[in-house]
Amino acid sequence: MSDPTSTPPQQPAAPPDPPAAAAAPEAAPLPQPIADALPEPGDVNTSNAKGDGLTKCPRCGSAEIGPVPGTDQLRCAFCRFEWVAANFMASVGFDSPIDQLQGTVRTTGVADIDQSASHIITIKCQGCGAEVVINTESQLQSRCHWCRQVLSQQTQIPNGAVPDAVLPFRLTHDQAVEAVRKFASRRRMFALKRFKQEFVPENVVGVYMPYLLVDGNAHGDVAGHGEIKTRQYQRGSDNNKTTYYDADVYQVTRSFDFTVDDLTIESSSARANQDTRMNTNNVINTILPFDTKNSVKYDANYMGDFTSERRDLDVDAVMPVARAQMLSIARQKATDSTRYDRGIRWESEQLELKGTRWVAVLLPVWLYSYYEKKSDGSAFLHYIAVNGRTGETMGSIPVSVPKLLLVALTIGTVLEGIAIAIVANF
Amino acid sequence: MLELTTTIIAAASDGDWPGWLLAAGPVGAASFYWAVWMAYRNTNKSHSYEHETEVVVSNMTGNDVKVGTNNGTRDRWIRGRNDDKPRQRL
Repeated sequence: MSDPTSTPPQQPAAPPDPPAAAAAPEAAPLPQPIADALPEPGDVNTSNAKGDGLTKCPRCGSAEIGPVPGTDQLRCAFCRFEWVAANFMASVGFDSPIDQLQGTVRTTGVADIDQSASHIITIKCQGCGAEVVINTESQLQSRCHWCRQVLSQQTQIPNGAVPDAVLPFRLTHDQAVEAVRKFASRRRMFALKRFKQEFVPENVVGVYMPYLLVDGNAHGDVAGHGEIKTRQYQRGSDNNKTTYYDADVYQVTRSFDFTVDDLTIESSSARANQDTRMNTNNVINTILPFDTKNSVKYDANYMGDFTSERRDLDVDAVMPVARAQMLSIARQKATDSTRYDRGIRWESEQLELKGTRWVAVLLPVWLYSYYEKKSDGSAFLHYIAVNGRTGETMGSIPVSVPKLLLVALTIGTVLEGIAIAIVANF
Repeated sequence: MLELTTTIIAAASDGDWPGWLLAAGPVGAASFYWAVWMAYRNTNKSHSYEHETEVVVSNMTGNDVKVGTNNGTRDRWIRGRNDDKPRQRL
């Protein structure tokens, strides 16, 4: 099927600059608040030309557009015309070689967040003139309550809610329900009784989670010592033998260039906090990676019935995380290039980051949540998360501690009984 | 529990008496509890970005120079081994 978005509309030729413009005095500087809100000169412009409000079907003009479950397609509910938004990476040239990256390349979608920007957006319905409010913390679309047409937030706003790209849900609700059911049914025995009683996998909801994708062009230097076993032998009497090893010690150094493609980092501060004593965000992190290469240019019509989370972290805030992850990757690659059967003790590591390229993206996650109220009055939120593309599932199931403790002690007692019997008869 | 286990094992190593078997109860109970807890709560899980990210390495250089020997050691691995812990910063 043809891609109507790939054919640019015919624009009238821009009128030539009037001769007076050349002689005009230099424009006065912009007021500071306006200048801050504008994208930095080097940013790649990914703003959407569709405009906010009604987004019309390219064939029939209806605003009833939504995602087709299980595919990357959009469909007009009125004339059934289907199409796919353009691939994001190709459309902005972010599929170019990473090893030539220098400096920090950013899109307008990862622009620094204006903390004072309102999350409540008012859109004037072009259908009937009513003003409709959208809370961009969790929604990028709303239906006009007067004329029932769907209104979209398509342009980028300074609160970080609108990304550069979106990866549509490929896994359907039914498939997600099945994945959650399968994950939980394998962990029924010691699950909290109330969790089992209140388990309704059909309540799994689709959420577009905000992430920053970063490509990195880096150089790594790692050094340490490694050992290779030369001999293994035993000493001592028959019943009291001890194993000894002889080894050669090597000084190991590795220096190399490397590129990292689409490292995916949480850009919501709530999700970036992965302290497992306080939350279960780590299970959402575990279902990474996504096939981010297939991300399409952001179009609010992919939201459908799904909700979204807002990006609230800037590039500067996640840069330390990106650097740490790239350093870990460098360490792993250095280790992969060696063969020391007694292991390596790395003693120094350095990362030189020559260039990075950043993209803000919404990625599809199916989430089942359970709010555990503990006996001490505190509460704990458990998630079962399903990757909306690959189906990879990970979760946290609340455990019935008394039951687990009882069974563990029973097993311990039986083992101890056997041990005492053996020792007593020795 | 760990201290108790160590004490029992240390006492047992003095002779042929298989006293270390007495640790089976506490160790078995603790291991079972830990294994079930991890299988349910998955607190040790996270995205394995070191292995699952698309990375291209080029211009790899380096040295492997023998600087000595470590003979007669009872350690199975090099002391301070960290090649299996890439996230641990040096």
